[in-house]
Amino acid sequence: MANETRQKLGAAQRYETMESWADQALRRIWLRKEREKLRTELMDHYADRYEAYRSCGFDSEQSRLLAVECMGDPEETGALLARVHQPLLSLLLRIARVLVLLLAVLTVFSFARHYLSLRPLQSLDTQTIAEKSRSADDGVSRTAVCRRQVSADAQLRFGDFTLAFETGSCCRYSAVYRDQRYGNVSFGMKKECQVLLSWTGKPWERMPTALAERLLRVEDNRGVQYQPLAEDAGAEGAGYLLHTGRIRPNAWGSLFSFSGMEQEPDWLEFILNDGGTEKRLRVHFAPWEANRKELEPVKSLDRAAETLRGMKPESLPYSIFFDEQDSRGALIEAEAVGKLRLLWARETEYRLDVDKLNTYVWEQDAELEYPPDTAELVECGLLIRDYPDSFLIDPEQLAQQLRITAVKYGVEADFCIGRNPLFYSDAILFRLDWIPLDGERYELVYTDPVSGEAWKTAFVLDREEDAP
Amino acid sequence: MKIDKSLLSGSTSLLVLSLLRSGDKYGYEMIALLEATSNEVFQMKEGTLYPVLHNLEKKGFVRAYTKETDQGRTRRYYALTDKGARQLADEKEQWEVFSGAVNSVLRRALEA
Repeated sequence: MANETRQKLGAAQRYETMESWADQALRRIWLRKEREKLRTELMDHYADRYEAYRSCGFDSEQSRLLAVECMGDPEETGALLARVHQPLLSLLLRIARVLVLLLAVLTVFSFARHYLSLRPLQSLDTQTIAEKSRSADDGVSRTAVCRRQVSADAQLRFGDFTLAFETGSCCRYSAVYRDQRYGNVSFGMKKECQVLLSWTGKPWERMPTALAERLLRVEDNRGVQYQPLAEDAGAEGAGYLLHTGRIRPNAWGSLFSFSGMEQEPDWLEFILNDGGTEKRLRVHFAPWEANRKELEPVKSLDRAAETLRGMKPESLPYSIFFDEQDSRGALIEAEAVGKLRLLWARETEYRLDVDKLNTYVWEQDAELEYPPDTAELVECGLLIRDYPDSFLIDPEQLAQQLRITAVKYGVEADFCIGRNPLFYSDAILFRLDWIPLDGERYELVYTDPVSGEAWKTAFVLDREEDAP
Repeated sequence: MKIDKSLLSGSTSLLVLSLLRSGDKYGYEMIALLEATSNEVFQMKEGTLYPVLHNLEKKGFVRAYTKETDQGRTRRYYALTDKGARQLADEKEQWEVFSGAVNSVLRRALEA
């Protein structure tokens, strides 16, 4: 027997029968009819080869093994047959194999990432955080006017996850709140701290939810302690209120906001509970920066006027419910000396809807001082152009710098603008409430806090023209 | 002498079409003829002949039909089509140019 044949006999162990060889070769051919046709042809070929070996003197068993060996690798034959008879399926199967391999690699990488505490993929800069704060869909429209950087300890490791502080920004802005029940608008100052938090935990575990659930208390550098509120996710102490937000994985989140804080701390420390152990997250605040670029552009002064009309007078804890409005003012354009130009002003007389007000007061269960049931308001839209760097768009400062004087019957009455003017990128809207005198001639004065220079503009309300 | 697989794979369709030029044949017959006419240089793994044949059939170079043998078995025969004959002529010409160029280079190398 030739050496080669001897080797073939030795090697022909993998597939004892042609049937099992054919099964392996044809397993990728899904269509039964096609598979049977191919099987018949291959079996016929095997039969011819078997007969050839038998006629050479090999016994039945040897001939069988040799004939099967001559057919070659069934996997290779099967792959080639599949490409010819099922090209699309063959391609899809190859793609699927690659995808499964990729998925396996990604899964391994994901596990490794968690356990090796690799940095999160997503990161937001403070500008984005401020924009997200402005666009938050919670019924409050905001105009950010100032911001400050926030930094904190890098990471806190809890029992079930690691919380990382990425970056943060505090914004101080005027906000307009729309009362869903009564449809009125109230207005106020807000200071809100947005931070980017990320967390890493085991992939099969649920993400952590509210920071408030773990919050024990908050302390600041002045020694003020804030105790967690029972109902709200916040803490209260010494007349100041902190609202804490929720942690969301790899996303920005509102960590806390300030309400009613006149003097702000240099840092806040959150004391959190980790299975009986206290963990501390200290948040530091940089000085406030004035940033005009964050202001929203003026979209519609008419709309701004509508908002202005619903603003709550500072002296009263409730909003005005307008019954009828009788605008007697008119558009005024007056070029100011210096950088400020008055765009329009309007004087409006209103009558208070006492029934609505009574309902409001009753539901709030508060003792209030009732306003006069009619009064006059002066609404002004002040357009600012080419203002200097020293002109800080900070409502708390600007309110001190703007004054308006009304003159009637030779008597001057000096009015402060009020603490919360409404800001847009190039306009300031403000309102004077409860003016006891019918003003005919007004003068707006802006005093630059740096140079001390005063800019003035005078305007008269023309009662014969319609207001814008 | 064992021939590198890559040398054979590029010539398989040319060899199969050539075998069919002299008449219709079935699979094992082609394998046996290939071995005999090549002095056993070409010993193709027999299973891999059929993907080649089926691919040629798909392209229209060959056509297949079944025929009953004297022993009562049915066999699948392959025949060269007109299109296959043109393809054979084309591939043969390419091979002659290619092999001529290879031989020329080798000759020069030996003379050097």
